[in-house]
Amino acid sequence: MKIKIKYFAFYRDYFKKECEEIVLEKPLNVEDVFKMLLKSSPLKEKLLSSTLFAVNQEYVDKTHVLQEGDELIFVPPVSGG
Amino acid sequence: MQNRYEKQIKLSEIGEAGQKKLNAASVAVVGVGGLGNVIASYLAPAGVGRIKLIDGDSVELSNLHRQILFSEKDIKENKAHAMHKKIKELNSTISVESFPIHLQKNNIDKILSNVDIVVDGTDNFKTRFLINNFCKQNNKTWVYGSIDQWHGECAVFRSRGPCLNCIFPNIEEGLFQNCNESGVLGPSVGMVAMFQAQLVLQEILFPEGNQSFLYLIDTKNFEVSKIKIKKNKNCLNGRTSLPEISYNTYLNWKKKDKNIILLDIREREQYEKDALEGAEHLSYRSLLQSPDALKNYDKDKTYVLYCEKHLKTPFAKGVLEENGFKNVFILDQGYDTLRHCEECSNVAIKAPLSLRGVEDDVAIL
Ligand SMILES: [Zn+2]
Repeated sequence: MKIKIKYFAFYRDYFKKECEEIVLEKPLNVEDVFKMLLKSSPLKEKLLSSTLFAVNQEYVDKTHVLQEGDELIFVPPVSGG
Repeated sequence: MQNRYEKQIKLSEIGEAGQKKLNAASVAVVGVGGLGNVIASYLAPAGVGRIKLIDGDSVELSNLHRQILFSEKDIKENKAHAMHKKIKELNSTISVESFPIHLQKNNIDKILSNVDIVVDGTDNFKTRFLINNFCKQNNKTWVYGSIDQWHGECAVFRSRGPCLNCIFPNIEEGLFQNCNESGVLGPSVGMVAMFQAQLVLQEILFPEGNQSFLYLIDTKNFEVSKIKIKKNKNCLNGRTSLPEISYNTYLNWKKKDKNIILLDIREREQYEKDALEGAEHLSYRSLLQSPDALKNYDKDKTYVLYCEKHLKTPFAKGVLEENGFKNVFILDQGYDTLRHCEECSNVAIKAPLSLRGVEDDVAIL
């Protein structure tokens, strides 16, 4: 099953790309995918709890299970002004 | 005679009636840096009738590339004062007030209580959450905006809809900063600020909107994503994140909800001598001795606690919560401070209701 992930702000710098497509072997929820992608980060729990996730332009809980063709966005808070 | 607003009045959605709404509106711009410059410089010409500008910082040379209303001769001047002059030049018919201070817990009530909409020109989440919680508690709309490098965000948070704490509940300042302060181009800041200014005007003109969105603005690739957001059920209207409320907030709540109970947890003798008007008494001592002290209290009501110095209340709140009370708040100042606060002319101090009879008897004598 294929999904698309878009990275915003901090995550674009972190992953050094704007978006990517990944293939999931089995249905996973948002948290599973996030942790899979940030596996090496010691801050992943903290980042997870302060990040907003949207699927197909709609805010979702991190337990939301992804479907074929979904577009998931990682949105960190942005603080400057 | 030419009408300065004729081009916007010509819009069928606005008309004379819409212009009247703008002229009657009161908006506070918190932070008059990059975002605040552009926001204020659009709100004033549109005829927003009353504008408050709040900023404790002074103009610096390195601000000028994005804080476009400031010029070289404004350097070292306070930003709120400098902007006050600029926007009065843009529109002399509106009323402008400037506050050369940072918005804080101890001044927020005074500055924001009589505005309709608060707009965020700040650069930190501490102030944003202060605004968020104040607006939730006082049923006000606020317009969030922020930018780092190329990426901006903005949203309208209305009192009945989701709040900043619903969508970003665990923000730690600095967690998402890569290193030092990040850079930004002037127009990127302007793009986000113009979204905010437009949202403010639309909120005044068409306040009935009920769907909420977070706008993600990629100012480099010119992409905008509109994310539908909703209330987080674990965020009790911004209340859980800030269990402390001001005396003014308590008064506002009390006006809408007669069932709110103000609880004085000092010793009985202190309460009998004098107390806040309308307060009931439940001593901290009895609360610690046994939860039986709570058996006559309704767990579903909202309670606001206070003590002498704001030291015992957090523990008392804990005891109530352990016993199933869900809506427990504490006053952010103790009775000793409130009673002696010269600016708090609205703090009503009376002998408690239970003792009024005695007082009256004395008066008759
Ligand atoms: Zn909320």
